[in-house]
This record gives sequence, C-alpha cells and structure tokens, in this order.
Amino acid sequence: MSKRPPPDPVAVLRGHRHSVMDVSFHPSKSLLFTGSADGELRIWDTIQHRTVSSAWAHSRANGVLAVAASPWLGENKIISQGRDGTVKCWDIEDGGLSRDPLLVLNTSAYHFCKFSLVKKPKASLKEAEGHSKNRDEQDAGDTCNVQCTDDSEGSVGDSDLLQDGDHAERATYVAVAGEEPTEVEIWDLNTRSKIIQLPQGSPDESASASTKERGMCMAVQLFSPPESQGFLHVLAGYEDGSTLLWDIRNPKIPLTSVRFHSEPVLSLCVASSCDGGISGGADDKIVMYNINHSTGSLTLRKEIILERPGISGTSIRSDGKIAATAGWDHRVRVYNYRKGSPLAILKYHGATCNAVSYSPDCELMASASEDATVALWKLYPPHRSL
Amino acid sequence: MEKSVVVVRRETNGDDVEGREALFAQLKALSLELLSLSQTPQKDPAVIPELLSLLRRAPPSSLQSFFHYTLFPLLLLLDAAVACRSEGGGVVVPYRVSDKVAEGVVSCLEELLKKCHVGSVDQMFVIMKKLTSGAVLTPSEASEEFREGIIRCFRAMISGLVPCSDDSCGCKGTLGWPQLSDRGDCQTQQVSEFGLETTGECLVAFLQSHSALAAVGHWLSILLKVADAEASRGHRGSAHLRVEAFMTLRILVAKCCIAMISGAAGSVDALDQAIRCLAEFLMIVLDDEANSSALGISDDDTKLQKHESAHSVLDELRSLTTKSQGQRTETTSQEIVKINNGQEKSSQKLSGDSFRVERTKEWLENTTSHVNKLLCETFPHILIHPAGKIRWGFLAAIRGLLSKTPRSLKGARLVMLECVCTLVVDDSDEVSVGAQETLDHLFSERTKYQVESDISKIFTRLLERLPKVVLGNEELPALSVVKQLLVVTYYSGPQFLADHLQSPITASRFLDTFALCLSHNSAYTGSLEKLIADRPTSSTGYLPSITELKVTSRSHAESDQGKLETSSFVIPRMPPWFSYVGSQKLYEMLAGILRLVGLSLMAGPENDGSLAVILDIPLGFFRRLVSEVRVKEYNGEDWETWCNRTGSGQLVRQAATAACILNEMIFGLSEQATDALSRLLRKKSRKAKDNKLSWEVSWNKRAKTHLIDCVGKILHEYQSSQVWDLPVNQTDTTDVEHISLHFLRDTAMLHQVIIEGVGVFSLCLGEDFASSGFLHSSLYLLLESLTCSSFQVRNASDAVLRLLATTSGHPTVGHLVVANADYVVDSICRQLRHLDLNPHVPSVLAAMLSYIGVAHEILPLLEEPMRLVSQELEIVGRQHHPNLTLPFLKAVVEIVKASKSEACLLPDRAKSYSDQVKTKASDAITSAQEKCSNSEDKFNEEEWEHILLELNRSKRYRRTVGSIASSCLISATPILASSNQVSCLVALDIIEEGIVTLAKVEEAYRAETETKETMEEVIEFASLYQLKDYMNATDDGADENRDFFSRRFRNDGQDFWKLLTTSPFHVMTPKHLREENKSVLRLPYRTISESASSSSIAEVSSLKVQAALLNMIAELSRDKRCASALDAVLKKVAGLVVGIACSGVTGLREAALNALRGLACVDSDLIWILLADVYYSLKKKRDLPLPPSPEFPEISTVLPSPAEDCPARFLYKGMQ
Repeated sequence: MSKRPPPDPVAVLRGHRHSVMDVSFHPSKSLLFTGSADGELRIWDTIQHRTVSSAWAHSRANGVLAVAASPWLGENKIISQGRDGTVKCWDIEDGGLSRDPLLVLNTSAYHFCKFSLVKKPKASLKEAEGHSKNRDEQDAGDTCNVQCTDDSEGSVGDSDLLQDGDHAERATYVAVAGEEPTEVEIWDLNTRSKIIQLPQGSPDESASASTKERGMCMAVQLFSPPESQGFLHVLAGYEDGSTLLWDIRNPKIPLTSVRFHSEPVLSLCVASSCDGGISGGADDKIVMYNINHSTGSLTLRKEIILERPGISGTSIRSDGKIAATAGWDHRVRVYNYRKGSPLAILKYHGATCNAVSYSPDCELMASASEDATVALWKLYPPHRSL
Repeated sequence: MEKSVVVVRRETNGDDVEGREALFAQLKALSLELLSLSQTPQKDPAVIPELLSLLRRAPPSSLQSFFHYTLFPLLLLLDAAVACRSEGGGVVVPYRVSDKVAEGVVSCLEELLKKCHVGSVDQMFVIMKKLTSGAVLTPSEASEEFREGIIRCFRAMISGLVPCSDDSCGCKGTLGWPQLSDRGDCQTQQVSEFGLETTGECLVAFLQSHSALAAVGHWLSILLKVADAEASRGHRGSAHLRVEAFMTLRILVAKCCIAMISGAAGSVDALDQAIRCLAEFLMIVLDDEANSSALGISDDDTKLQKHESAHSVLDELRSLTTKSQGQRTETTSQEIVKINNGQEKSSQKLSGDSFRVERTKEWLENTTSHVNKLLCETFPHILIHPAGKIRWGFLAAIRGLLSKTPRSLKGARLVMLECVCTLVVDDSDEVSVGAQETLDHLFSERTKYQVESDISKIFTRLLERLPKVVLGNEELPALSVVKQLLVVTYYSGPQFLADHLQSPITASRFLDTFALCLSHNSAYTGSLEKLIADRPTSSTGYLPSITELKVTSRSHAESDQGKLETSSFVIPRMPPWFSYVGSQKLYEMLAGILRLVGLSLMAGPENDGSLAVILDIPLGFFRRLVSEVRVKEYNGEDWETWCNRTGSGQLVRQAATAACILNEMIFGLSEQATDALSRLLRKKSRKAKDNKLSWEVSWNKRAKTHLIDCVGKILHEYQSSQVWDLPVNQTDTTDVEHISLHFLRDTAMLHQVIIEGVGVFSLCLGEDFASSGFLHSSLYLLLESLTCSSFQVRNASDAVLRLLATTSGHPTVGHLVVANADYVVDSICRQLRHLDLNPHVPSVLAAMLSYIGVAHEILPLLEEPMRLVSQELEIVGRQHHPNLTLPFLKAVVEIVKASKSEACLLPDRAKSYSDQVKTKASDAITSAQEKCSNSEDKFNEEEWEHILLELNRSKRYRRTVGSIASSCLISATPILASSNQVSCLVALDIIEEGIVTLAKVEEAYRAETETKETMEEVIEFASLYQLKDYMNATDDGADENRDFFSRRFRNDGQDFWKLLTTSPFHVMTPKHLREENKSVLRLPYRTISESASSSSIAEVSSLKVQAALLNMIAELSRDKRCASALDAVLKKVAGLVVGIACSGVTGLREAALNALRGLACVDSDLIWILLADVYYSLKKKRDLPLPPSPEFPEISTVLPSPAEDCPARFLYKGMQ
C-alpha cells in the first residue's frame, strides 16, 4: 500500500461567514447549494468554484438547518429548512434565489432534525432523469403508481399519500420532525399541508409513552422502496439511539425498532437502492444496516468503531459503492459502502464537519463545516461509460 | 557616290527636302571621314561621336533614305574591327581598330538599325553575316561593350522586322503578342511604319522560311553561348550582356514563331526572361491541342511539317541533360542559373525544330520524358529563388504550362502543382495572389477531379519527404516543401485530412512525422553557426543578462501597447529548441499544418469526437513522462539518478514536443488561427462555394463541449505535479546533486511550452476558459512560474498572464488576479498545508503580492493563508524549515503593508458612519417624540436593521484587518531576536507597519463603539429588541494574542523556570545545566556555536540573569494586558518566586519582591497563601518573630490586602 498522503480538496468554497450547516448538489446542473447558520443560502458553481448567488433564506438569528434539491422537485427548485420553524421552497430560475419563496411550510419545529425529501430506487431515478424533460411520460409513470394504489386496499387514509397521477404537478413530500419533536410529520409540498404524523395520535397512551421514552427525533429519511408499491417509508433516528422504520400505511406502529446506537442518532442515509443505509450518532459508531422490506426489518450489517465520537452527517453515493461521514473531529471519512472498509480519512476542515453530500454523477463530494468553508473532493471517481 | 545621288533623287518628292539635304550634307562629310578612317588608323577620331549624335538627332523618316549610304562605311569599319580581333581568323588587317572606335561604330550601327528598316533579304543577310562574325568573338578577344553592342545591333535589326501587309503571307502565323508578357517587358520599340511598302518581300516570312533556318539556328546558339559564357565567368561576367542576349533571343524567337518583347535590365530579369521563354517554347511545342494525335486523342490528321534534324536535335538534348545534371553539383544560386541555361539551351534547340517537327507519338514520348526530367530537377531550385520577380515569372510559366500542356507534361505536373502550392504562400503578395488564383482556377475547372487525385498524391509524397528536408541542412528547400504541404492540406479540404487521420495507424504516423520534425533532435541538424549563436548557456557573466534585459524591456514595451491590442503577445511561439533548425517562418508553416489538423477534426457538419482520439497520441508521451516520474517517487530515487538514467531526457524532450503539437492543434481552432490562415491563403476573398473545402467550424454546443473536454484532458496532464516537480535548476533539489545542464534546460523549455499552451487554450476558449474552471486550476501555476529561475519560463508566464488579463477584459494582470483572488488564495492555502511538498509557496506568495501589488484588495481573503503562515513562523515551524523563514517574512511584509493601507482608511470611514447614524437617530427620536407616544411604527425597522447589518459588516472587516495585522506582529516579533540581520530588519519593518495598523484599527473601533451606543439607544427607545440579537451575534472575537503567549509559556517556559529553580541553591554551571537538561533552550535562529561559546557563566552573571527574569515576571504580571500570558503557569511561577523571595539570597531579594508585587496584581490571594505556607513551615522549625523580620520580607507593605472572602484574609489579619 502506498503511503501517499490523503488528498486535498480540489477546491475550497469560501464565502460563508458562519458555520455551514448543510450542503446539496443540483440533480443535473453543476450547482451546489449550501446553507449556513446565519441564514444565508448560497448557490455555487462547482466548475468555476464560485458563488453564483447568495441570499438570506432564513432569519439571521436562526439560520439554515438543511437544504435539498431533488429531481422530483424540478430543475429549478430547492428547499431549505430553517430553525425558525419553516420549510421554504425556492425558485432558482434566474440563477439566483427568487425574492420570495414559492411556498412556506410552517412546521413550527425548532429542533435539530434535518428534513428529508423522498428517495427512490436508482432505477426509477434514472427513469426520472431520462424523462425529466418529458412531463407526459413522467405522468404515465405516475399513473402506473396509481394503479398500484388501487390494488392495495384497506390502508388507512393513504389515498393522498401516493404519487398522484391526476395532478399536473408531481406530488412531493417532505418528512420533518414535527412540532412535537418526538413525532415525524410528512408534508405535501403541493397542498402545503401536513398529511400525517408518526406515530399517529391515538387515544392509546402507552404507545405515545413509548415514543416519549425514545426522546426527540434527530434524523429522518423518507423513501419509497420498490417493494412497497409506491407507498412511502420513513426511517427515523431518535435521541436514545434507536432507529425506527415506518410504513405510512400503518402510521400507528412502526414496522420495526432497533437500537444500534447508544447515543442520539444524528444522521441517517438510505442508499438509493432503498435496501440499506448508514447511520451515525453522537456515540463512537457508524452503523451500516440492511432494510428487509418483505419482513419489514432492519438488520445490522457492519458496525465501525471510531476513535473519536460524533458523526453529524452521512451520505451514500448514488452508485451505492462509497459512503462518507462528517465527523465532529473535523474529519470526513470515506468508506467502501459494500464492504464497510475504510478508504480514507480526509483532513481539511478546521472545525466540526456538519454535512457531506455526493453529486448525482458520483464525481464530486462536498463537505460542509463549522469553519465556514465547503470543501469539494474528487475521490474514487466512478468508471465512466464512454 | 553614285548610290547617294540615286537616293537623293529618289527622295526629292518628299516634303522636308531642306532638312534632308542638310542631313545628307552632314552625313556625307562624316561618311567620308569614316571611310578614310578605315584606311588610316586614328587614335581618337571625333567623327564617331559626331555621327552618333547626328543619328540620334535625325528623324527616322529622313534617315531611312540614307540608310544604305550610312550603313556601308559602318559595316566596313565593323569588318575591320572584327577581323583584327578574331584570333583564329588569320586575316591580314592593315591596322588594329581601337576599342573606342569599334564600340562607337557598333553603337552607331545600333542607332541606325533602330531607326531604319532593313530593306531587302540580301541586305539583311549581309548585316546578319557581319554581326555573326562579331558575335562569335569570345570574351578574351573582344571587349564586353563591343560584344554587347553587336547583340544589341542584332536585336535592333530583328525587332525592326514587322509583319507585311499581305494577309496570305506566312508571317501571320506568329502569335503576334507574347503569351507571357509582363508589364515590365513592354518596352517594345516603336518602329515607324515608314517605308514598309518599299520592299516587295516579307522579311519575317523569310526568317521563318526553310532557307533562313541555318542562319537562325546559328544565331540561337550564338545568343545562348554568349549568355552562357557570361554566366560561366562568374563575377566577371556582364549581367547586361546576358540580359541582352536573352532578350534578343526572345525577340528572335518571336520573329521566328512568336512575337516577343524585351525586358528590363538586370540579371534577375535575365532569369525571368529565360523562364518565360522556356515556358513559351514548351507551350508551343507541347501544346496538348497540337499534340492531340500523339496523345492518342485523335489520330493522323495533324501532321505538320517535317524536319530532318529532329533526331539530331534530340541527341543534343540528351547530351545537354547530362550536362545540366553535371552542373548541379555546384552551389545553389549559380547552379540554378546554370541549370536554367542548360535547360534553356536544350529546349531552345528543341524549339528550333518545333515548327518543323513531326508530332508523332514516339517523338512526344521522348521529348516529354526529357523535358519532364529536366523540369522536375530544375523547378524546385528556381522555386526558391530569392527574387520575387523570378518567382512571378515562374508562376506565369507554370500557369501557362498547366493550362496548355497538362497532358503532355503529365510527369512534371505534380512538380508543377507543388511549385504553385509553394508560391501560394509567398512573401510577395503579387505572387501569392496569383498562385492562389491559379489554384482556385484549377479546382474550379472540369479537371478538378484529376487535380484532386494529384493533390492527394502530392500529400503522401510530401509527408514522406517532410522530415528529411526539415532536418536537412538547408532552410529554403525545407520551407518550400512545408509550404507545399500546408497549401495542399488546405486546398484538399478538412474532410480529406480527417479521412487521412481516421485510421489510427496513419494518424499516429502523421503525428510521428511532425513529432520528428519538431523534436529537439533537430538541434543537431542545423548549421553549426546557428547552434553557437543561439546557445543561451554558452557564455556566462554579463552577456546573457544583457539579452535578458533587452527582452524584458521589450516585453515591458509590449505591455504598454498591450493594453490596446491583444495581438502583441504572439502565442503560440516557436518552441525554443526549434531555433536551431529553422526559422520562425518554417515553424509557422509546420504549425499551420498542425492547426489545420485540429481544425479538420472539428470542422464539418458532424463531429464525432475524433479530436480527443487524435489528441491522445501526443498526450501519450506526456503520460509516459508522468508515470515514469511517479515510479521514481515510488522508488524513492533522487533526481540525479533519475536524470542520468538513459531515456529520461528523451522522455522530457518528447513531452515538450508533444506539448508543442498539442498547443498548435488546439490553437488551430481559435479565431486568431483562422484569421491568420485566411490572411495567408486567402489574400483575395473567395466565396466558399464548395462545402467540402470549407474550413468553417460550426460551434454548436456539442462541439464546444467536446473542445472543452479535450482541453481539460490536456490541462490535466499539463498540471500534473510530476511534470512540475522536474528540476529546473541545481538549487531546486535539496540534496547536493549534479544534474546536467542540458537536462535542466530541457525541463525549463518543457515548462515554457506548457505555459504557452495555457495561453493558447485561453485564447481558443475565450470566456469558456474561465467558466470551465481552467482558470482556477492554472492561475496559480502561472503565478508560481513567475518566480521560476529560468528566465524563459518567467517571460512566458508573464506573457500568458497578460494575455489572460486582456482576453478576460482586465486592463492589467493585477486586475485579473484581484478578480480571481479566491482561486489564488485557494491554491496557496492548499500548498501551504503541504509545505514540505511545496517549499516555494512562501516565495511565490511574496513574489505574487509584490509583483501584482494587490494585497490590500484581497485582504479579507488573506486571513486563512496568514493563519497558516504565522503557524509556520512559530518556533516549531521555523525549526522544520529554517530556510523558509525569510520568504515567509517577506510575504508577511506584503500582507502587513496591505493591511496598513486598509487600516488607514478605516477610522475616517467609521467616524463618518457614526456621525451619520447619530444624526439619523436623533432625528428619528425627536420626530417620534414630537408625534405621539405610540410611535414605534414610525421607526422603520428594516432601515435600522440595515444600519445594524452595515455596522456588523464594517466591524467584521475591521476585525479582519486587525487580526491579520496582529498575527503578522505575533509571527514577526520573536524574529526580532534573530541573529540573521536580514530577517531582523524585515521583522522590524513588519512590526512598524503592524503597530500603525493596530493603532488605526483601534481608532476605528472607538468610532464603531459610538455607533453601537447610538444604536442601543435607538433600540431601547423604539423597543426593537429583535434587533438586539444581531447586535451581539458577531461579538465573539477571541484575542489570539493571549492564546499565543500563554501557549508559549506553557510549552517553552520550562527552560526559564529551570533557570530560576537551579540558581540560588546550587551553583549554576554550564555543566550542571547540561547534565540536567540536554537541550537547553536553543532557539533555531541561534547557531549552535554561539551557545557553545557561552560555556562558562559566572555566578554573578547567573544571578543577574535571574534578577532579569524576576523583573520580567514583575513587568508582565503588572501589565493587565500581558498578565494573561502567565495564566497557564501562574501557580508554578508564583511558587518559584515566593521561594526565591524567602530563600535569603540577598542579591535576588529586591527583584523577587518586585516580582511578587507584580504577581499579587494578578492573584494576591495565591501569593498570600503561598507566603503563609512558607511562614508556617519555617515557624514549625524554629520560633520566628512575626513579620516583618530580617529573614522574612515585609510583605504586608508590598502586597495589597487580600480579597474579602479569601482564607488568606485570616492569615493577613493574624499577621497584623
């Protein structure tokens, strides 16, 4: 093994004045979105390594907690979440943020849980990418989902939880930890309304008591596994270190509950194939697990023990080969996602890393840190099919 | 006498009888004198000039009447002159006619012949005979002027011949006007029409007739011989005479078969005439239409007159061919002339019978094979004749030949086409435009198909010849071949070239050819003089520096103009090694072909990404170099062994050549290249009617992306660290290694070519260069190269930076760097993180900041590098890289200067803003009070928020400037103690500037505080409490200062404290010290010898040291701002000092008490407790009186009373 030093970032994006809380790539263009703790949302050009535009998306006192873009959201939209209890959707048509958000969801949540957009398996992602310009075909795909819906009877209040083909716009959902921080809420961006909360409020006191024991929801992932016929699943991590898997057809009881972590779960990421994921918490562990949809269970696949505790962000590359974590120890760690073996420890940041993210084309990785910088890395580039 | 009477009588019916009679009277007298002169010799007779002037004066019409009368004595004298001169004649002459007389006679004769017509065939024959005998005189026999005069006479005579009025006469068969006439040749003699009707016979027809053949043939050979003789005499030969001979030849020929004209004087003209003459002959002889039977188009209907001497002429031709080949061994220019002569002769002979030849197939084959052979051998030589006129004539000749005899001269057609191609790129506009027209014409004709097939044949042939000629010794033939290839490539169109490069084998062969031509090997092929003249490292001392100075001054001059015109930086330039083999011109032509390659792969409607494939071939060389260096790194080899290994140098050179090829190929796609190409090859605008030949590139999105990808691929290789790690000078490598100078120079040249490549790419991509992220990756590289030890590299990067600045619309490089400062700083930070790998960074940083002078503009961005720099200037960093201290300090100087200039602006700005806010606030408050009590709404919250933000912004900036200045100070201060004088001085500079900066920042801070207070008032008044968040949001600045010193004391204080602990109790000797602690505090900038020299320290001096230490502690702790530095070590220090104070060492008591007093300012309780501890421990042993006592210090008098809640208070009370 060569003793070459770990690589440096290909570029460091400087410009934020406060801790950069979250980072997200544009699904198709060479753009990067970052949000900082002083409420600034910046758009960067990842080729020129420069700020394209900067705007105050959320109040300066509260700051941006998370930003995300998704192919299902549309080419020109991004969503930001602030610690001011709002989730805002922005138009980036003209290169910069629209002056006013397209819509604001008042979730009244003031905690640390980053919201999550729906994640779908890679196949459908590809399909969506391929058809993104052709709305009609996309709609056809959605109609297929509707048919699936018709098959599944007896589910509770779920008709509006499905990808609704009748709408001209695609239905997009956002999962956040709710006003009551032990609950997970799912909002529809089109209707701007809360659809469901997990666990669904029931007169049964014992259930809610059990969730209370778990403490606040710290991390959430919304995804739509292919086996579930278009029904959304939610993976949520809690303060006591437990991770719950929900099927929203059954909002009362989670499919399964496991406790991989001994401290609060801080970050969850589901692979784009939706059959597994990675999580990091305040303890000294990184956990990789499989999701078995037929039995509705989570099984531990690999547990990595760290020297120093605290993982605040995780990300799996869209080709499912590589995963990265952002640590409190200022380091970004890169792992082989399939084997769980460590590949590199990247030391650039001078303060806690808050988030990592991979670009959809698998070329770039971005890490955001409290030192107000965002570093771009080019590691283990995927084999390009020419 | 009788004759003259007859003449007079005949002319009496004319008008001007008196004039004629007067003329006759004069002529008569002079003729008589001439006659007597022929009998009696006379040295300098006045009669001849008189006669000449008379002849010149006399009008031709009157003179014609006395033609015979005047002619007779002149011929008589000429006879005599010739007779006495000819050696082999054996004729007995009465006396020798002097040169003066002979020449005078000849000029009189010429004048006469110019003005008068020869009346009859007999008369003409007589004159011809006399002149013949004169013309055969050799240069040794007769004077040059005499011989020239004879030829002129002959010319005058035959040019006076005018076709007769009879339409049926044979003289109408001549072409009348020369085919290759030129404006310069148009000085035809205007012969008067007078007296034409007087003779019954047509002299022109006679000349063409069979009976005159012998005479005409004789004259042809005489004229050629004359010209040949002059040429063979070398410098002694008369050019005039030669010109005359050729001119006369042309006229004679014209009179025989074509009408001819004469040209101007000069040897160049002679050649010109010769060429035209030759072509004209060939055009007539080998005219395709005339030879159509022989060519097999139609048979046996056009049998012309037969001539018996055809075979003999051909025999002669054969012999001449060999002769001309023999002559070829001689050197160039003379050789050309000679060959031309030989050729001339042969074809002349040929033409002699051409109007009598039987155009059979065999004859044609024979003739054309010889002619072709001749043409193929001679044309390439004529082609590179330096005189433009010759080339112009040559072009005309080829044009004529190509139009008239394309089939007959099939064998020479390729050569002729090649020649035209060369002439397309000619120095003379006239020639090149003409050649371009010719080629355009050829391509537009029906014969296009054939031309195209020819062209592709030529292309292959030229490609094979290319390396041989380029690496050959001679420049001109090489240039012409390269020109041909360029033009052929251009005219055959992009598709042709793209097809050629389609197959990987042909493509790599093609590029290999060019790699060979452009390689360093060419250095050994050029002439020795060039090698010596261009050798940069051959001389040491002042010589190269003077050349360098010149270049710099030129580049500065360039930069002044460069603001206006971008074209002043000529990029791509000729690679430095190529100057050994060829000129700039040769390189440009070679590069032109490569540019066409790049263009051909992108031109055309469909673009299949073949450019990337082709680019991979030269990139392969680059990759090989990179991987070799990587292997070297892996094996841990040092540079010396690597460089000395066989093949390494070759790799570097190949990479440089490959870079050169890549640059040119990409450059071909730029607008500049296309413009230059059309300037070169499209002197007259032609509509691109043929799509296939259009070199336009349609820049659609796909093509652009493809190009960007290609450039990205190249730049990736260009920027690989392995390439830049190659040593450029001996000092680059840290170890003492010896690398040959050649290797270093090769590396420098490689770097230079790469840098120029970056410029080329930016030129080619325009705005896309920056938007594709290439500027980000290459800007630092260029800036770094500014500090390269090789002048050429520096110069190149300077030029490229200027180019980048101008292309991106910045007036100077400084603006460019400011606009892209984020890129630069990013790169610098990256390099600073790996200082061991990039030891140049500090000097680059310093050089960059001073070269561009923009530090103050990018100041906010400098915070991060400054942090890293000051880290490196701390003790640990300095210990790691002692050699980098000075470069770092220099960088710090630049930074601190910049922060000073910024800081000077801050206070005024802050003050005026504060005033502004104050007035605004008071206005708002008074107006609100005036209105009503519930006036919170009146306060524009947004406005105040804005003001607050502005305040925060300026605060942040002020803090940035302050923190940069203070970190400069912190890093520089310890170096004040450096023994290195330079470092010391630089550090002093830094401190001076830094202090000023801090003062200004402080001032600005005060103004800001006022603003802040005003804001608070407003917020209170208007209860805009939500704004308070912002107010404090940014108040978290930490004082780096304290951190630094407390860290210093904690880490490095051990040595100080040791001094204190050791001293009072046992004698402090160096030996003790060494035993206890092997590494005494030894600052890296102190040399070891110094510490060794201070080996013996006296007890007194150690006491002094301790006293000084104690005083330092006192000072430090008394000063509120410094005291914090002791925070981390307070307990230890306090314990030590109390110990010393109570130890009874009288010498230290004062100082110790002083230190205690100081320490008590920090934490008096601690001191009290410590003292009490000591007191009670002593009291246990023996009964001590309450203090004050002589043994115990009078503490209560020196220390302040302890705090209320401290346990020591009780002790204090007790003591009292």
